[in-house]
Amino acid sequence: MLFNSLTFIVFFIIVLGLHYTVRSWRVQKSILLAASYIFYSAWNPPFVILLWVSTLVDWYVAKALGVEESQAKRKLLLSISLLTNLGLLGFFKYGEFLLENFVEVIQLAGIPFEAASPNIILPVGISFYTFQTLSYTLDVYFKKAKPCHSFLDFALYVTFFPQLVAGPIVRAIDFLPQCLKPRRATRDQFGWGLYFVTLGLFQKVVLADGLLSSPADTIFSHSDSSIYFFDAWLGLLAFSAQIFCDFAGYSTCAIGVALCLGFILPDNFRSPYAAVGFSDFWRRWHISLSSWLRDYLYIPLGGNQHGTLRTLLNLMFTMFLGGLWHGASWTFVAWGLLHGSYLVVEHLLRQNFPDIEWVKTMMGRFVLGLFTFILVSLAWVFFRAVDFPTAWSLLGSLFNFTGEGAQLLPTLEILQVVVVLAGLLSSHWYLHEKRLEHAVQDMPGWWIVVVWTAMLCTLILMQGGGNAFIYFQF
Amino acid sequence: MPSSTSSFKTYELKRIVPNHHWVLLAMVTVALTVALTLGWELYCRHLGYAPSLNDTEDLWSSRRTLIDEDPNRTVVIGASRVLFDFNLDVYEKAMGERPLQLATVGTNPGAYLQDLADHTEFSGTVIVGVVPSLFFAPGGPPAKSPENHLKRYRGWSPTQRMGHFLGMILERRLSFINQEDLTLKQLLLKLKLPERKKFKAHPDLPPYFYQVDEERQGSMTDMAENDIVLQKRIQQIWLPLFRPPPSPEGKTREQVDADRDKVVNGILEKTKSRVDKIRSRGGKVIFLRLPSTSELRDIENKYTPRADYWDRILQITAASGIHFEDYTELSGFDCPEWSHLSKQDAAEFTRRLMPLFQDLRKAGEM
Repeated sequence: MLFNSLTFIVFFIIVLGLHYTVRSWRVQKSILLAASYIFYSAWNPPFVILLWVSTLVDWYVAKALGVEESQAKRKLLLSISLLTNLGLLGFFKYGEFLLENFVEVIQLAGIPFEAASPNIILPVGISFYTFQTLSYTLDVYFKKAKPCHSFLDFALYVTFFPQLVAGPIVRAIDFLPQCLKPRRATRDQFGWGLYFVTLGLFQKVVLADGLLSSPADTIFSHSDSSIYFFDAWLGLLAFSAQIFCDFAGYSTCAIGVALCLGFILPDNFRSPYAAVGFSDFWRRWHISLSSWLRDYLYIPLGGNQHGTLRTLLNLMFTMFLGGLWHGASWTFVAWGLLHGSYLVVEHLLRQNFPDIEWVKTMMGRFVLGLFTFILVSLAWVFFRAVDFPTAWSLLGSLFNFTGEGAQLLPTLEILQVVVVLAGLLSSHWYLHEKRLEHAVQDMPGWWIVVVWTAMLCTLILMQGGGNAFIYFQF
Repeated sequence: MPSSTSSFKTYELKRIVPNHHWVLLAMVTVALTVALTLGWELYCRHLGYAPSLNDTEDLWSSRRTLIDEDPNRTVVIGASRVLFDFNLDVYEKAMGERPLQLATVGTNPGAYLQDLADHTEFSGTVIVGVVPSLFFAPGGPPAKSPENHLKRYRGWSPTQRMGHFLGMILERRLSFINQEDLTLKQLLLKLKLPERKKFKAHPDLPPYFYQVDEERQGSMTDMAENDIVLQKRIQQIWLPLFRPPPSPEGKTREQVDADRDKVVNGILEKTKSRVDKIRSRGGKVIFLRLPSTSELRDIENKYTPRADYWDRILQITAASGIHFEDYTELSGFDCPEWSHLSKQDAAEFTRRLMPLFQDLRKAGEM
């Protein structure tokens, strides 16, 4: 079920109605759990079985880990969870990719071999809920959390519909304590939650789908000839803005929906396009994934505690897997490795030039921020391009300043990209050091009403066609 | 990826609510939004718009699923002419069964014919509306549109079905819900901003001028039937759309002709194999050429002459076909915008078509 659909509006009204009319907290949680299964199975009912498998395996494994002291047995238990979760993820998400690469390697070795296409359908959100359940088992394994005592609470943690399919990836230590006492939003929390939902839908439906997707699609689908550099850059920047508005829009909706139900979800984005440097970018972009990768991959690998070379290798490996998490394609791996390289270079620069003064000035930070944004945008080329030839071709156009190439974008779309991008970057810089909540608190009430009404009216005018969120495919 | 290993968790789980009276703000916002939306609705009605269903991939899917329930049904595929000009009520009255309307605007029906050919149980009659320039379109939007419709149908999820059902409730009541003409995107396009000199604009597509009902019976809107200025505008939009695109640079006329012949022959071969497959299960296929008039007809005669296109379809597939110019009772209709019949004429045209269909039925051709 998509947040930007009429079905969801009806579904949410029913869920809210039930949530706030039922008195028993246990029944409320059961309703939320049932609603979450309906929410998920509305895409493809059989895939709900995968959720059940993941829930059951991690419930029993964590329970056993809670009492087991033998290290060997604890490792065995952890392996069961890892094999099940990563096995399902591997089969559904990477099965075809692995087979394709296997066939290519075999053919390179001169052995004629063709494999039948397995046509595996990717279950929506599998990467998100797999990482979520894994974090629980890993926390229990590393004794950072105790096993949950209520199966209902745990099942709700795995399945909670606002963030089930595209995050934020919530840690058990954040969610499970919220299940202990009845959750009811106050009137102001409820209103603020609705404002968040509107803001998220506005980002997705109006900005990402309505104003940015067309120029980005035009540039990334053009493969016949080179593109005029101005159009190539605008198309690329349109995608930078689109991917943010699409994904941050989902997270914002998820946070708002959860808040209306009285639950608190963590921020997933914090003005990432105002980041100064790449480690700063990853503290602001998809925070729940980057902190997951840091806590469950980078730090267990040794983090930055074993010398420079090991730190750099750890960074590259973590970003390699981070890229692969996004999609079963070498272009995603390239995207991850490019970000890994950015982090490596930044790490070396920080290590070797720790006291450059101009970097700390306002102008220095602005220039570095702009530079970071441009390099992040260039990395999106590999993320969005369907294959490497398209990516190389676009990169060629971006740096071909001879004035040659096709002019692909109409004036209206140029204006759309410029206006949205200017607004987006300004808002990110404005919110660089402060939270949205503080900015809204400083706004007069009438201004909030004007902004809120404008967002709702443009949403109605846009008559969005219910496009899926980009991150659903991951 | 933050490189610091200083803490287990970097984010703080708290959500501040800005200090405002949010319930009051929400109520004022909703009141303003409702008032503005109602104002917009009244303005759209004042402009001549009436509530109508959007011709979406969901609506198409809702009709396509009916073939799975009754694979013996008569199905209409093709482009906008057969969508507008073929009246389902008249057909039902004359032939005793109600066909499914699966034609979509601006499309090459090849993918739909393939879909029916691949359906293991389908054994009904397929009425294929032929607009030669679309039927023989090698790719691009005419080929992509049916692919998108079929993709939607094949993955039509419970949530999309529900969304379609809810959407229709609103579309039947509100005229501003009009994806053809009144979305923010469409409204912005009406600004008609000047383009850069080297920008190659796509040819304009016609403005909103048709509607469909729940069964996808298409028809020209009242606005398009009565507004001569709009009709003239649409006529001028058809002309470049029905002319072949300019030859690619570096290709001679002969090379372009040879490429086109290759495409035409390929499409004819595919059509034959699809028709044969449907027939092998007891199904029938009838091709139908519907009226176009004036300058548009001249362009069609020039670039897609009957002998090279229509006649070859019938010759290669050995299927039955009805060309409006072959029957005096089907000729002489006036298309207000040169390509489609008005509602009244569409019903009359279909009525006159029915004896020919009844003859085909008697001959075992349907």
